[in-house]
Amino acid sequence: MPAGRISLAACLICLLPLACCSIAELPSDPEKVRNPKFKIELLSGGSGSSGELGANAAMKTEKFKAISAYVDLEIETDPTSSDEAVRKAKDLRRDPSVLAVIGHSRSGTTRAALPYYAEAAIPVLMPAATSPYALYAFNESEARPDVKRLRRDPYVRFPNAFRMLPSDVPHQVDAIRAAAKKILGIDKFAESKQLDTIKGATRIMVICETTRRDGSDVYTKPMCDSLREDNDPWFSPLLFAYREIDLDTGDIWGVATEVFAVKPKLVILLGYPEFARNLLEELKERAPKHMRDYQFILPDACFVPDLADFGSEIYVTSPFNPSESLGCKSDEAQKLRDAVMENKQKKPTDEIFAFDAVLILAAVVKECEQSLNRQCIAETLERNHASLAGACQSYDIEAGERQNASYSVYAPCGKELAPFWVVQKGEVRCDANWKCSKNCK
Amino acid sequence: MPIGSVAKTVSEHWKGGIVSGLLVVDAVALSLCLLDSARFSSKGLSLKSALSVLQEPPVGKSVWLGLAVLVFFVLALPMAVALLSALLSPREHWPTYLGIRARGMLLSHLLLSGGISLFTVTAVTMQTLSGWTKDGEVWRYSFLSFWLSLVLLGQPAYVFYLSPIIRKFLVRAVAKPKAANVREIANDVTKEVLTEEGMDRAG
Repeated sequence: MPAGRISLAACLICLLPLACCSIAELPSDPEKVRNPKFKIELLSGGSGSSGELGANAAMKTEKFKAISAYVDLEIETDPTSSDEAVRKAKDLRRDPSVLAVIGHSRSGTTRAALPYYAEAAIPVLMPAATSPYALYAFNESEARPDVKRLRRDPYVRFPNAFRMLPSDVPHQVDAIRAAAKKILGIDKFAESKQLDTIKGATRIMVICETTRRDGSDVYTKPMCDSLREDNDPWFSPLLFAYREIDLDTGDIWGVATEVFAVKPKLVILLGYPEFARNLLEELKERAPKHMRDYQFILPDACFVPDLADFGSEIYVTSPFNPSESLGCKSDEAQKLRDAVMENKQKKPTDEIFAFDAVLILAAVVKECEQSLNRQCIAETLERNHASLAGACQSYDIEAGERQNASYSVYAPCGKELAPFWVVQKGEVRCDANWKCSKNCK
Repeated sequence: MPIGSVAKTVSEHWKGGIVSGLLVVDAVALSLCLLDSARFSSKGLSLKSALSVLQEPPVGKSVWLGLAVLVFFVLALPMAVALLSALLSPREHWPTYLGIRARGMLLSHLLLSGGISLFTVTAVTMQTLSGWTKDGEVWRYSFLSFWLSLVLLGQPAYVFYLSPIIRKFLVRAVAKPKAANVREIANDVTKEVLTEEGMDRAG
């Protein structure tokens, strides 16, 4: 071969691959980033939300300061729709500096985002999502699966997700059922076995919001199905009416009309606050004098304080009980109490879960310090699942699900709501820590 | 040298490199890709996820890398094989299994090259999906693709040597547009960079 050809060929051989490689730049290459830092992403309910308050307070603790040289806590507002949550999750999944995620602020957005975090094995601590659907993989576009089948094939749990609150089914449903029985005084009738006496006069209506846009159906469907299929002989015969509503297609006016027609003694509202407010406003506008005739049970995700001002008796079921935080003496708990005071809040709310999530991750990061990455975080969370220490309580999270936790039922107490009953494993007891619960039997 | 003549020379030279040895190189590259895939899966991540991320915008610069690898495999590699046969040992003296020419070999090579370049782009996503690891004071991707490391090996050589050669060559060629001997300019520039400037930069 002539020398000219050889040199030409040699040039081409060298030129092509080398020129190609020169333009190649790996995304967020840690070796090229100046002062690299991991990120813990916290997706809270927005500015001033309890999640943000808890996270900001957690950043002031010694546990977090110990890792702050190489870990940042980034607080972002959780999107309100599932589609936006998916977009956010896709962005985070592409960011190699994300070490873990705390969030999202609702079951619907958590469920929508989790598959994308799983693709990048990003550990997720869930301080707010309680829907049983949130932990399991299934096709979003298909019908929602039966909750009873969730722990079985083909529904696989996301191995990177850890829920800090007990699942709605059975825990929240147990609390709703127990509260309903207590409010209606079913217990007394159960003792005398005179259920037929109250059946005619006492009607329970369940109204279930199933809007897909904001993931309400992910949150409510498991609870709605469980309540509808309930076979408690002292509860299910009283379920007189069941109604579903999609806020994007249905109309609240029709639901309110049905409520007037059924005349239920107790209405169980399952959905998000937008729906509850719309319905209560409609009821009040059309029959302001009758608001006192209704009693409502709402899960805490459906409740915002102004709903208590509509003239009806409102009961709220919640996995949060402030007694646990108020009696707690740890330094971290004091930091949270200071933050609550600074925020001019009268008493703690559920900011403790975001606060604890940061503390748990800070402890795990410290344990993984020698070789810190997502895999170590997930493995350490799994290994220590039985005792993940928060500020005031230890979380037992087995197979991603919170164990040994209770639900509180808040009842009207003066002008506000206060814990009244505590429901654990189907057992109901009075919460003796609050002045109104002194009347509790 | 007229362009038509150059093209013909290059084409003949390139065709001379389409032999079974080329498929052996493809196979070695592919096995490295498969090894990477297995290592990635062993970390609890899935290749399917990496492929699904590839389909999402923004695609990024990794596409150029994939394209470069494709061009390298399709154009440069056959030339390298032809060059080896000219410089080291004539193809007739190669082991039989390396020097076979058969129908369909070109198509197979093109397909394998396509697969390898696609894997290159996927490897970038795999590294990103794996996140970072901090080992003491060292920061790196949790998953490091062997194949991608090999592909990017040329980067320092380009930065230190080839880039200055090309730049100087272009500047001088423009400054002396009527220069008869382009090869002379290229030789001068190469000599300068490899003997002095390149050393300075590396040092």
